[in-house]
Formats: sequence, C-alpha cells, structure tokens
Amino acid sequence: MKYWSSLILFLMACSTPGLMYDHPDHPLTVEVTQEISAEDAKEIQRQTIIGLQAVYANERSPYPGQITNVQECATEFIPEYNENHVLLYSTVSLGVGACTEDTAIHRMLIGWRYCESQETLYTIQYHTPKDENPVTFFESMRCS
Amino acid sequence: MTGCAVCANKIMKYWWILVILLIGCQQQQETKVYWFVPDGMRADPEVFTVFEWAEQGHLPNIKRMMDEGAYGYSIPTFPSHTPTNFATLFTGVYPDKHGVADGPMHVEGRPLNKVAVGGFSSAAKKVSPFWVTMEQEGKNVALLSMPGSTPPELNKGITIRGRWGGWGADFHATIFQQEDNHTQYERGRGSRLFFFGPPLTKYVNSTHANWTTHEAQRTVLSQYGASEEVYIFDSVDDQKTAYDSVAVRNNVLQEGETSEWFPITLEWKAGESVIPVETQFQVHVIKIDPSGWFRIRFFYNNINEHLTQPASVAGQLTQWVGPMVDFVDNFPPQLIFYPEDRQAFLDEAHQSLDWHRKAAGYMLDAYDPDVFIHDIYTPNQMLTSRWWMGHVDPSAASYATIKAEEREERWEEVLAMYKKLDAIVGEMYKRADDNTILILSSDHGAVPLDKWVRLNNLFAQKGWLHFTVGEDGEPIIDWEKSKVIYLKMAHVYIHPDGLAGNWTRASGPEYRKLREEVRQALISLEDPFTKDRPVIAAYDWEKVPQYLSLPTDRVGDLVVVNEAGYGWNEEMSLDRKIFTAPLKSGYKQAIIAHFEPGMWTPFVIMGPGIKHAKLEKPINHVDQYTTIMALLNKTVATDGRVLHEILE
Repeated sequence: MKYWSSLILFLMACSTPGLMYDHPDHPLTVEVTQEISAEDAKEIQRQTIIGLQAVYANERSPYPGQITNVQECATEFIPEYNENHVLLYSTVSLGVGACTEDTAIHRMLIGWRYCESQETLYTIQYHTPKDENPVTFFESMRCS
Repeated sequence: MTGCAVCANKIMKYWWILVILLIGCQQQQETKVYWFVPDGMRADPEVFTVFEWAEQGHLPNIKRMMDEGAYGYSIPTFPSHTPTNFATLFTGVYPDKHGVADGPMHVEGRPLNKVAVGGFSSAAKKVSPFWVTMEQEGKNVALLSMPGSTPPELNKGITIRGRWGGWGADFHATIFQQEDNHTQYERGRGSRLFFFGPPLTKYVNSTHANWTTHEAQRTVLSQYGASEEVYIFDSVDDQKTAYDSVAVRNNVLQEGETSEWFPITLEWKAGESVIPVETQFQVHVIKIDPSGWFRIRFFYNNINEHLTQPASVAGQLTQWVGPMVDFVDNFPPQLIFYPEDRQAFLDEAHQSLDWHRKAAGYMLDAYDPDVFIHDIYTPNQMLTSRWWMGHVDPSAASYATIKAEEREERWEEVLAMYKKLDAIVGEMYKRADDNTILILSSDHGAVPLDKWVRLNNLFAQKGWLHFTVGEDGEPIIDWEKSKVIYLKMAHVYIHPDGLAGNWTRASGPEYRKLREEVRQALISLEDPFTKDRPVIAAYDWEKVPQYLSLPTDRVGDLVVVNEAGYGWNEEMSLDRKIFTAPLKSGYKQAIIAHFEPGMWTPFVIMGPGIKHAKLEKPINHVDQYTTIMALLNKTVATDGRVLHEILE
C-alpha cells in the first residue's frame, strides 16, 4: 500500500515541475526536468554522482592538528553506485553525508528515470526505514 | 434561487469570517525571520562594549534594533567554537542531544588516527535544525555561508556555500612567494590548508625576462590546474634596479594593490573525476622587495555552480553582487608572517564584508525568502589573527608590546569591522516589515591566546605516549605502545592496553587508575614562566553530560577545559617542550564561556511580539531558538527557556 501512494504521486509528478510526498516513514521527492535530451539527463546524473563522491571521499579534518588531519567515512556508509540509482543513508533531516550508525537514520535512494517520449527526466529521492530496501519501489516506476 | 445566488447569499452572510480567516492566514504566512549570525562577534561589558559603541553612534543599525527590540549578552556552550554553537543556536538543545560535541569527533569502533564525524557537516547533527523545520512548515528558506548547512539539507530552499562541510568545489586563496628554502622548511605543514590540504602558500622561482625597456623577472604561478604568467619589473628608468611592479594579464600593480577579477578555468578534483569549473580570480600584491622577492595572493571566487543549491544561484550572485569574497585568510592563517600581511588582511576583510552586505540585500530583494540566515566568518578571522586581539585586550600577555598610538590604530581597525557588520544588519533592517523578526547573534567571542600547550609532549614525558620523528620531520606514533593521547579540541584518549586499531572505551580498575594519574598530571601542570595552571578541569567521559552538556559517545576519556590565554595543541616534538609561543593572538576553543565574558556574544531581537527591553543577565544560546519558535507559535522541546521578559 505504501508503494501505491508513492506511485500515484510519482504519476502526478509527470505534470508537475517538482513534488514532495511528506510521508513520515517514506518521504519521496520527485524533481521533473522537462524538455531535456537524453545526453543532458545523463550529464545531470553524472554531476550528482560526482558531487556525492566528493562528499564521501576522505577529506581534511576541520580544526586539524598534527594527528587529527584526515576525516574518513566508514566503508559501510559509502554509497553504492548503480546504473540509474545510488543507494545510501540519509540523516534525520533527509540529507546525505551520514557516516555513523547514529546519524544514518534512513535508507535513501537517489534515482533517475529518463522518459524519452516525454523528453523528461525524473530525479527521485526516496527514503525508507533502514531495514527496508527502497530499490523495489524505484524499479516499479515506469514511463507512462 | 439559483445555485449561484445561494452561494452569493452565504458569502454575504459569512463574509466577515472569511475576512478574519484570510487576515489570520496572511499574517501567519507573512511572518518572516532574518537572522544574522556573524562568526566570532565578541560582545562583552568590559572590552568589546558593542552596545556602548551602538549608543555612541558607531553602529546605527544595531542601535535601531536595540531601541525597537530587546538586547543583551548570550553565552556559548562548551567547547565554545563554531560547529558546536551553530548547532546549539539552531536546534535549541545542547550537544548531548544535537551531537556536535566538537569539530573533529571520534566514535567507538573507528581508529583514532582518523576523524569519524566532522562537526561542520550538516550530517553531524542528530536533530533537525531551524532551517529544516522552517522549510517543513512551508517557508521559503535561504542560507548564506552557514556552517553546518552542507551537504544541503534544504529541499526547495537556497543553500549557498556552507563552510568546511565537505561539499562542493572550494578553491582556496593561494599566496605565491619567491622560493626561500629556510622559510619553506620553517613553515612546513603550516603552508597547507588544514596542514595536509592544497598548499595555501606556494614557493616559486622566477627567471630573467628579456624586456628591452625595463628590468623584469618572469614567473608562472600555477594552482588548481591553471597557470598564470606574471612579470615582476622595475617601472622606473633610473639606471638602478629596484623592482616595484607586477604585470598580470592587462593589469599593472604595485605593492598593496589588487587587480580586477579575471576569468579562469580551474580543475575540481572530486573523487576520481576532474571537472573544469569556470570561475574568476583576482591578484593582490602583498609585497615586492626591490631585490625582486615577491609575495602575491590569488583569490578565487568563493562560489560556483558546485557550491550553491540551486546551482543557478552562483551565477546570479556573481553577476549581480560580484565574485564572492566569503571571508579573509584561511586555516591555518597565512596572513600573519610579514608586516605587509596586516594590510593585505584588512583589504581582503573589507572586500568580504562589502560582498556580504551587497549579497544580503540582493538575496532579500531577488528571492524574497521567508527565512534568511546569514553568517560571515571574517570577525572570527580578525579577532583570532596575529594583529589585533593580543594588542587590544588588556588581559593579553602581548598587550603592552605596542605603543598607545598603534593600539588606537588597531582598535580603529576592529571598530571598522564592526561598523561593516552593522551595515549588513542595515540591509536586513531596511527590508524588514512589521511581520519580520530580525535577529543579530553570534556563535562565540574570542579571547587572547598567549601560549600553546603541547599536551602530547607532557604525555610523552610521562612515558604514556611513544613516538619517533620521520625524515620529513613528522612524528610517527607507536599506537600499540601508547596509552594516552590528546586529540583536538579537548579530548584525551586513554587505554591501558594501547590505542592501536579501532578504538573502544576501556573500563576496569587499571583504566580508572591510569585515568586518574592522567588527570592529576593535567591539573598539576604549571606554566614555568607565570606559575599559572592552564588546566581548569579534566572531566571523566561519564560526567560530561552533567558538567559540559556533551554527549558521552563523541568525547574522549577525559575532556580538558583550559584557562583563557592557553590553547591545547597536538604538536609533539623530540625536545618535549610543553609551552610554546603562538603567532596568532586570539582563540576560543575549550573554554567554559560562562566565566569568561570575552567569549560572550550579542543577542539583539526585534519584531512582532517583542517589546523594548534590556536583558539584565546573559542568556544561554539555547534560549534564542526557544524564544524564536515561541514567537512563531511553535511548540518545541528544547533545553532553553522562552525569554518571557522580552515578549509583549
């Protein structure tokens, strides 16, 4: 049932330039980019992935010292990059960058669906409780 | 009667209800919040008497806010620095709830030589901040330079360049200096961002240029994948060689001058990808010696499409406000070595203050946000730099080392910075209407720094910490043999079985005995020159929620509180020297602010529901959010109190 309500909103998004479904356990955001070529849609996806890779790359520590100088995200919190979606963890504010058990509150999926006949890119952000898999819902999405 | 007529009749009958509902709805929707939070804006009753300065006419916009609203001092929470206090201000709870116990944080199950959680990242917080709550309430939110706001948490709102949150393509200003092996060796890691990042000072060579008209040297200055040809030349034809000018592109500059902004394409290395970024840079000539020795600073636009969300905001701001000078200098500071650095610092500081003033006006006009929250880091940079705090605060050890006229000049420079903060307040004030809550506050103040205390050298003296020094001069820690180590900003980690591998909290009699020995060593530590004791307290991790409002899971085994004037330092050296002299003269870390007015900040608030009042006693930072939420008719669970004494 929870997937159905999300799916209806996704379909509504086809005619809306951005939509957020504020379900407490399964928040969903669909961003709609219209009149976009497949190539440009790929570029948007690529830029987002690069941005994410930069967030999770080892970086210099804030207020560094002689020993405290590198900040590292634990392997289990590094996003999984797939062909058309990224699977990661989101924070209490539904943001990215969670690298510890106590800040990783939701399982998060960032996915891209390009509908060629509509020349439209749907960028989906979907959050579920940590023990659920958001991929099933994402894979159920089809261009109408 | 037709359906329409019935409808019209009903509307006529109940029109007044509709009007009331519409007015009520509109008022609710139109309540705006403009919150300006300059970083490190000290305000206290004795030295940085900001409210007196306002009364004297130096800060007219803050004076207007004081006249129309309420004001007083606000006290930061330990460890009294930026990430912890931004989180406290914008959640209304202490670090034991919001989780931001420090800048660098370690957690069990992770090695101590790597930071597990960075306090400037939005992801460090365990509680949603004000801006997220406001967006969830349907408000349009815009954030400018807010620590803890990136990676962006806003969905529909505007996030512009949080600081050190590990997000976006940040290109840091770089000084290019004529090669000088001695200086280069002495500064070592101190020339790089955060000691191990991209170089903030690069040492370069020049070659003789075959100019027919002037004596000239050619050098190529490269950073972030871009190279720039620069000439240092003698502009005066007097048969003597005395270099005095720099030519870069179509600009000729003399010492102390700044070029126009030039377009440039830089390379952003993100993970394994390299992305070209179209941006701008300007050149400032800090120093040219007649011999040809030079010190030149490149400043890169601090925003680009990878540092704002939505990306388009970067271009709009650059077009209408200009390339961003977010704040002056960097970490570690680079503009502290030569007398000319002070003027370079001031020029850059004023550029940043002017940019933020224009940007505040532009943001409010162009995007008309319901909630606008704005930080500028320049006050912190100025008050912790080498040139000011140590000479204007009478409690500083170096206070008497300059003449009275020089001190007057330093004070004028500090006041000029405060006047420009006031001008930013003015941009918000003149756009605030009757339904706008306007707030001026800050995260922390700053006090003089007289001595660094190398706690790890103390532990090495005691035989608890073992290290050697490599060929590059860097210490190599023997984590297996080491039982005690100090890690920034206020934490001592202790394990009787050694600190190698993933850290776990020790327990048992042996642990407690060792911890007590370490505590005694800390609290009996004495400055051999002044006989002062720099350690005020060393709290067990179990007691930090009670005494410091810190969480137990993101702190060391002991949390060490320092006396103002001293600052903890991780450096370890073979000479085992504990007390050293810093080059910077201001600091704020690991001080309990309740007892140190220099750490206090201003809190000024005006708008609907607020009466004119002066707060007799300092409030706590947690009270600000609590009161603002009450003004917005939101019921929230916080650690603060509603300041009923300022409400109508």
